Amino acid sequence: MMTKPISPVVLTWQILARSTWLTFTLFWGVSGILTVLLLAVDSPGIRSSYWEQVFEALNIYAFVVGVRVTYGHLTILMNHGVTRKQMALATLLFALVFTLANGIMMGIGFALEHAAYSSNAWQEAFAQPHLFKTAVDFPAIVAEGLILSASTFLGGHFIATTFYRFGKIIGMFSIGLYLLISFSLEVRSYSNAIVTFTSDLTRKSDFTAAEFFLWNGGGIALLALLIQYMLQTTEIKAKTR
Amino acid sequence: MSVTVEWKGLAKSYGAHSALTHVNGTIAGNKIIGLLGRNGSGKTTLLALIKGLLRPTSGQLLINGQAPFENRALAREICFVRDSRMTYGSFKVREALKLASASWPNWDHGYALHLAERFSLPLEKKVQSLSLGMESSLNAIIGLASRAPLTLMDETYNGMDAPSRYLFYEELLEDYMRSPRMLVLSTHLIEEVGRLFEEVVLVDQGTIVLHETTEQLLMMTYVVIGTAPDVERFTDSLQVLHTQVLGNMKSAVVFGELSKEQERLADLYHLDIQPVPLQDIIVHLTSRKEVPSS
Repeated sequence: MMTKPISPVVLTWQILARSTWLTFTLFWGVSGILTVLLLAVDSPGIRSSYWEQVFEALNIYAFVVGVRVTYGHLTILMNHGVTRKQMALATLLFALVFTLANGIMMGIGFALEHAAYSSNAWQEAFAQPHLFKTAVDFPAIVAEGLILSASTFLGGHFIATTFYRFGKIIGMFSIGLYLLISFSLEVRSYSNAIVTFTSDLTRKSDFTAAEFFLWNGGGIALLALLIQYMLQTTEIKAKTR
Repeated sequence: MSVTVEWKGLAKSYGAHSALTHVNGTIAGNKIIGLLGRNGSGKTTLLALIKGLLRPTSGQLLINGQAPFENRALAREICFVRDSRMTYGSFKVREALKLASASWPNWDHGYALHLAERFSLPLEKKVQSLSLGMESSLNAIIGLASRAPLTLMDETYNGMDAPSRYLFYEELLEDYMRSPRMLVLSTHLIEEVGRLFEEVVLVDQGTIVLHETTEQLLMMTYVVIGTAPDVERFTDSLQVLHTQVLGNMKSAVVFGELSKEQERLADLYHLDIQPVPLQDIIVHLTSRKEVPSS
């Protein structure tokens, strides 16, 4: 029984998706259940959006998924005839779909939460500055969810790949570099820094939407380029028992 | 597709540690080749370089004239299975075989399932929870069913029990007869698997010290047994790999072809000449400080 091999890029994409779908389902399931529970037990009145907090959790989750890409998949894929270049390309395609799915889930969550608030005549508010002004601005929510999770996914991927490629010492430097990049890019961190340093508690965001895309896009492109270089030149280490 | 692997002044270092130096030679054609050597001699590094997992520090490694590192054309022509745990994550055995079927152009899934049955490999069990022997069976199945033109097996049968190992040798030989290709087997179990090798490549202290057909290597190594003075007279100008004295008797393992003149001398001194098993030859060759060049 002969079988036909599939494209290495498609194969890599499938492997990455396979190893992520369970955590993806768990993450969004748990986030949804927690939000519903908090809404159910909380007393009515003026409040911040609970779903907004998922942005923070999403950053951590996307970061962890990014970390797992290199250590969890590089060896097995190389052993199955995938080249580093093909894996790097497939990872970028996976990141696009993964982060878009995250953005869409953020948008759906805000829409559902907004419906719950509206039906109870509650007044919702956001604690952090965002690209969107209301919870029903679906495209802007998706864009923010996509870009923020892309930068943290690539951040995790970048740090893990640096550790894999160059070892612990340079790996530690990559954490510092990533924090620097993310600190200067992430609109809320940036704004929080401004607030902290100037004690100007009225300032919410110093980025326009265009600046937000430009800066984050630049950061993402920089991380993606560094990852591509490291992946394509790395040697594969044996993973022994 | 017939494969030719060439090493030209190949060297590989890990920081200050030199794993391979001055590796030169060629292996070619559809045959079963034994890659032998002591622990840490550089066998796995050599195989990883052939697969393109590592990049040479200096020199060249060419497979059919092409460097394997990041080589898209060669990536699916070289199957490397090793004794280390590949990161299968939560994959079940069935999924690992499916992954292999999606990877290797000549993969025979029916044969893989047949082997899984013969090795009693539980298809629904997670790879991570397999015993070492079971995982080795999975690796052996992937190596055989891949039918890759160049298949590299690094201590694939580690942890397998004796019946599984003999089953593997039997299947290896049968499948090789059906689908001839280049199979390079790195092993310590020379006594068991040595009879399969058509050629032997011996790696010692980071370099290839010997590359011979197995037949030639067996012919050019023999043991001389007799009284100590007679054995010493006989071996006076020969390359002796190993000697053993028991009372008045002495045995000497000699490396080099036995000429007609030496046969006549052995008769004259009443010396007994016996063949040396492949494993003993390798042990003697690698336990000497200086290994004779072939």
